[in-house]
Amino acid sequence: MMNRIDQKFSTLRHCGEKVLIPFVTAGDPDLTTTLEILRILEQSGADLIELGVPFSDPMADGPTIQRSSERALKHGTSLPRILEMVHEFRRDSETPLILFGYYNPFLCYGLRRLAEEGRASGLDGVLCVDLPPEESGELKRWTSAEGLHNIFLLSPTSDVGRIRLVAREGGGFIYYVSVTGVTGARRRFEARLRAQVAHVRRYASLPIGVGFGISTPQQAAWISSFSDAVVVGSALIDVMERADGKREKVKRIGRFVASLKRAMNGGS
Amino acid sequence: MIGVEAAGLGLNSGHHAASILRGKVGVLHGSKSYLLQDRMGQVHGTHSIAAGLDYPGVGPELSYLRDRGKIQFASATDREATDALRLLAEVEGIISALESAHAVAEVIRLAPRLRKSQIVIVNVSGRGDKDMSTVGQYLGMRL
Repeated sequence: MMNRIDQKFSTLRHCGEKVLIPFVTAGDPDLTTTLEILRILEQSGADLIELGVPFSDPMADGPTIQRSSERALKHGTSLPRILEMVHEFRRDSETPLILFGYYNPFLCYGLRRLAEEGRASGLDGVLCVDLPPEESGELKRWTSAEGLHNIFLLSPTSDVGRIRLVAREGGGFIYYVSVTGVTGARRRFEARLRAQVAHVRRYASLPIGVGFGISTPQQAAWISSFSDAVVVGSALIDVMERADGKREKVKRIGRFVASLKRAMNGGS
Repeated sequence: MIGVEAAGLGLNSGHHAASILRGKVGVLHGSKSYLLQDRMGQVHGTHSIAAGLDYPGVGPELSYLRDRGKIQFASATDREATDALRLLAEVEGIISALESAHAVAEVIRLAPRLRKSQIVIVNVSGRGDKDMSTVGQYLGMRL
């Protein structure tokens, strides 16, 4: 069976649409609400969802996602409970899901167990932020056996050798980190981002998703004009932090994601 | 060879940095070593009076040498390290770093059990002038 991530990229390419990938931290504010958030994301135009596994030391994340992780960990969000929630979501959804996290909780849980249970609960890929492709053999051995993709990161400082390596070792799509630094909303991007993405494309046939710092519909529209997918994380969490009450958080997130998708499809 | 880890307020206090004695294998900041973590792989907060030891992991080389049985590990508390620093300063005129003072504390504990002819080498890895305000504060002195 074709991986849902590949399916999604292929379907949208055929209708000339770009892939919108919202990121949310599992368990912020709690796992029941996360399930509702996943459902509203899907209804509001999310094509693929990145589900963050909270970690005590999220070194690639800026203050927004750090706070989000802390909130999720405070009431004991853990990998087995996240997978249960994924299982619940998968009962009536075909939206591809990527588990986005740091290596130590995965290692601690057991890489084989993560791959097997992840697949069984309905995951489609794993993105391990602090695991470079050179060190990913053990994880890939199990994820590949289960048909899960391993998504790797590239950044403006990646040289051609690394671009080739990620193009060879990665699956699903390449996650291009738009800036040097941590996650979090940026006011502006450098115009050369377009050329950087084109440069990666010369060596890679995988679709390219751009993330880190994208926070407005205008930015999402501009970036999707030269990438295959746009990842938005911190900005969603900002929206959620500003809303009072769980119901309001879910509603506002839905509205925000719909505005991103509309802009990417050429509307305003 | 003996390595001395930071027991902070005590190995059972929950406020220490004894990665090898109390941790299990994990990956943090790009290296695999003994790591202080909970059963879900979340990294513990640490404590040591020595800033250089106040970290949940330990160099992978030390983890390897421990697994090979080449180094045994002991620990010293904040109190023992500070006392050792003070004793070494008074007796030898050497002000060791607080990190190194953990090793000196182990020598103080070990030496009375050794024969006179046995030689102990202690690695005083850093100097303690950087630590004077910390030590002063800990001992309740005004510098």
